[in-house]
Amino acid sequence: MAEPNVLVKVENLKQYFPIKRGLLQRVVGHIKAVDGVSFDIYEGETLGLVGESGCGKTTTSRAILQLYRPTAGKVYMEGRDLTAMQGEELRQMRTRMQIIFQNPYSSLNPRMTVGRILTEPMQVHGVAKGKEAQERVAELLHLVGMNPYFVNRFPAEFSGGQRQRIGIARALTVNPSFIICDEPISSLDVSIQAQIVNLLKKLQRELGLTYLFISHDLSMVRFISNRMAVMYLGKIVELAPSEEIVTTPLHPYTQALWSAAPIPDPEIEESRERIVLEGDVPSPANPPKGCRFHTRCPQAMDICRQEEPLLQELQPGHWVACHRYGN
Amino acid sequence: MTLLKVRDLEVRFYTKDGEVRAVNGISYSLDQGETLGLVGESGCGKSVSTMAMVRLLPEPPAKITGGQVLFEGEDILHLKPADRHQVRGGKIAIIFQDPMTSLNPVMTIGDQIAEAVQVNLGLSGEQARQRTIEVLTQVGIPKAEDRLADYPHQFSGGMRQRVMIAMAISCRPKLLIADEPTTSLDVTIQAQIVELVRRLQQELNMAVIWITHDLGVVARIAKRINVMYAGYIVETGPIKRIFKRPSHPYTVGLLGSVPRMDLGTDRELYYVEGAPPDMIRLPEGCPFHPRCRYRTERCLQERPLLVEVEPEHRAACWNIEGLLADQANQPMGEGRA
Amino acid sequence: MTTNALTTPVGGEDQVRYRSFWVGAWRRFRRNKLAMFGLGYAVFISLVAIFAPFLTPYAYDKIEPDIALQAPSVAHLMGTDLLGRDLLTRIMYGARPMILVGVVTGLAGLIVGVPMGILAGYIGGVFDWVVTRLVDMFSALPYYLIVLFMVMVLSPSLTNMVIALTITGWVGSCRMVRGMTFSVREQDYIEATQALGIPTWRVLVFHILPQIAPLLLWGFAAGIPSAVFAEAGLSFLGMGIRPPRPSWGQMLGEAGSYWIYWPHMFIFPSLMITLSVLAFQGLADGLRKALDVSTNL
Repeated sequence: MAEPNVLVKVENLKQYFPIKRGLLQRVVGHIKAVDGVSFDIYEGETLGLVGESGCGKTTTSRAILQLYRPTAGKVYMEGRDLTAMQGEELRQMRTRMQIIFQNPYSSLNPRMTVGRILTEPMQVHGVAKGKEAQERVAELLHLVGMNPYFVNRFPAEFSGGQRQRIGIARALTVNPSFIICDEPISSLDVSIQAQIVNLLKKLQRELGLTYLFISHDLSMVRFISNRMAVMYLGKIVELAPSEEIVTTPLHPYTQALWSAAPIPDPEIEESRERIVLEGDVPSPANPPKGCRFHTRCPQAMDICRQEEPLLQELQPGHWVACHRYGN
Repeated sequence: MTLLKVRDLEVRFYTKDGEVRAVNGISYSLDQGETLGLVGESGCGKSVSTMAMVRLLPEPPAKITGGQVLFEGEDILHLKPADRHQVRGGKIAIIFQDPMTSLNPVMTIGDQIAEAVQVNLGLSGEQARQRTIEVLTQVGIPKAEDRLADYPHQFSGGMRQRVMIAMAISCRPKLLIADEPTTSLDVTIQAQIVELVRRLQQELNMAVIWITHDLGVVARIAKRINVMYAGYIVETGPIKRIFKRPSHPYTVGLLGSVPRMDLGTDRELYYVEGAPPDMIRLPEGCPFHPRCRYRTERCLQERPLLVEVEPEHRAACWNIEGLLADQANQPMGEGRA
Repeated sequence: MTTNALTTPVGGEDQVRYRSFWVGAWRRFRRNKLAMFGLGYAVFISLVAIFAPFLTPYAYDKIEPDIALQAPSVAHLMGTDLLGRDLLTRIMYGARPMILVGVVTGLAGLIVGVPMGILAGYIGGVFDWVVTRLVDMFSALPYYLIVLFMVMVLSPSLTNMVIALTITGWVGSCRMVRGMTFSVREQDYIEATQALGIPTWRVLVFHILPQIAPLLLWGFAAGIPSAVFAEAGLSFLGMGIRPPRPSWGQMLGEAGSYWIYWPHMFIFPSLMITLSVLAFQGLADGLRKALDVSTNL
């Protein structure tokens, strides 16, 4: 089997936010939102990123795109180091990677027509202008399932699902190869979610896109992703192909997550064994020593309180960070 | 024993854009100790109908234009404002989606819960305090006594939801209305809250109406469900029967469009065409027909009423046979026919 | 392409409910009687000010002691003042400094305040710190005293009055703009512009500025009544436009000793000032209600 290309490589990514107190704004600590995260994203695949609030998945996405400049670590896009880029070089690199936002109601400029929203990126990057740009806009709208007649409308005239389609079209204007989907369907009604997910899958097939799909909706992520990564308090705890990670989750947190995810089948729900975690997620400003999950882990051992487990490849393609499987 | 009987409930909103027909004549009943799930997407009327029952809707612009709600035999819909507080809190309790905005941020939680029991049960100060500690412990808040003086913002999201539940059960209500209480919570916290409500329900023999759009959550907690669309109940019955044999095109669509952790992924998600209806300008005939693939001429003109599919399971559709036959040949979730 | 909800306009089967923000705002404005009066008045008084020489046969500075202090008559509709000058003519010419001060001060305030506000709000950091301190400093200055002081030191004149009013007035629009920029900056669509690699200047001009524009328009209009009043007050004290060029405040000052027996000298200028403030106030308030972004679009 041919080695698939690595499109995006994340190496030991860290994103710390300083906590400032007092009149002089002294830095008293850091929120370690992302604390040493590494993974590869292969060309043409969808990598799902899941985790609960505060796990750092959104911050990771912003750090990859250099919307936050990472505190440490490297991000390679098509082989080039994004973290080392500045100014114009970075700006041009942005056409290779785009993002779709969660909230369709705030991700489009309410005072710009759909046409302008879509032609602007093209003009700015010299992809197309004038008549050519308009034609391309019509193409894109058609591609995302919308009537090209809508170019003169304002975002407020569209429903959530339609706005999301416009957001997707906007991401496509600059011909990216990589798109981060940050909870793109969470704000939509259930029946519309399916429409958008199907659209994303179709576009991936037709345009050869690579996705990083972030969501808290586990079943949706499983549905759309080839591989999934689970994050907890700024670290990746497990990474494996979707099928495997769902049927044989190895990390206790992953097991608890799957157990908690509701399945729309009353027969199954009735008979399921539930792992219910105790307590709340600790604060990223003060993560537990050792393994960050040990405070809630039903299988914690002594070593878990002292030493942080490393992310290791237990089986081909299946990475876990847990002392239960360590050496 | 029937605790709640809703008959032909109708609610309208009068806005400057027109009259919103939010709830259009729904009827159902609920027994003591039973859990009913109200399922539907935004705008279908699930929240509005329950808020209307306890007169928590702002009237105007809302107006209850018809129907009866019998609670323990008494019509609570037409209670005088002065008498409504007897039902709220004491007999019927509500928990909402966002605990941050439904708890008073400038009152300690101890005070808030004590207030509820003092007003509704007439307990004295010390008795109220004891009861408060009792319910906080019951909902799983550790060291409840020490936390009485804490404010809502000092609790995490899941804990706040527990506090709200504590407040709700403090007066031993017969009916608990849970309006999307776990929608904004993380999945592991959601599981905790769902388990909590299940446990409390058994301990207190409470009836529960659980409102949600999440089919997975409702599968866990409800025994019967009402599927709502455009202010109507389009399917109702025991949850297992409905999930096994969905008999309304909307239910079929909903179930098919939700991916499942335990099923494979090499298919397209079955999706429902179009978008939720404009509640000001509902279509003629069946409200779902613009999006329905089983529609016939009749559907455009006449609105179908609930008919029996099997014992206790009813759906409002003119073409149930066609739908069931189709589903038998091609189980839902295998793409679009 | 099949017709479905995606291809038909939102809001019903075939009804196009397209509403541009400005069109909707104009409709709301039109319904507000006081606002329309304000607008009408503004147009009217501007025309009077511009075309004053053509509207009156009299000169505003022709001194004729014989016909001094005459009550309103057919020949002099508002009567004459202490020096025999036609009051109506002077009232008409008096509109000029009022408009000049109102408009120019407003504009100057915008020109100074807006760029500083936007940059402070968008860039933040040290720049914001500097601008905020400047705003704090300037707003600590007692408005009237500073203006008085400046005008006294620099000698009374219209230009100096405008300068003085601008120096103290720019902080208002700056603060407003800075605040709004902060909140606009947090919106996802601004983050989207970053992700799309859209240059900062474009973001400021095409994305942020249009959001603030309604607020600015209102702020400009709202500043006019106070400028009018300020001008009237300063001219009353003799700190404004130099005689014989008339200003309503100045005329009020002249009417000081005469108002008991010759009330017309006092009534007409004060009527005009009151009317103007009321009208511009109504205009500004109407704009605020019509442009209120939180409830419309």
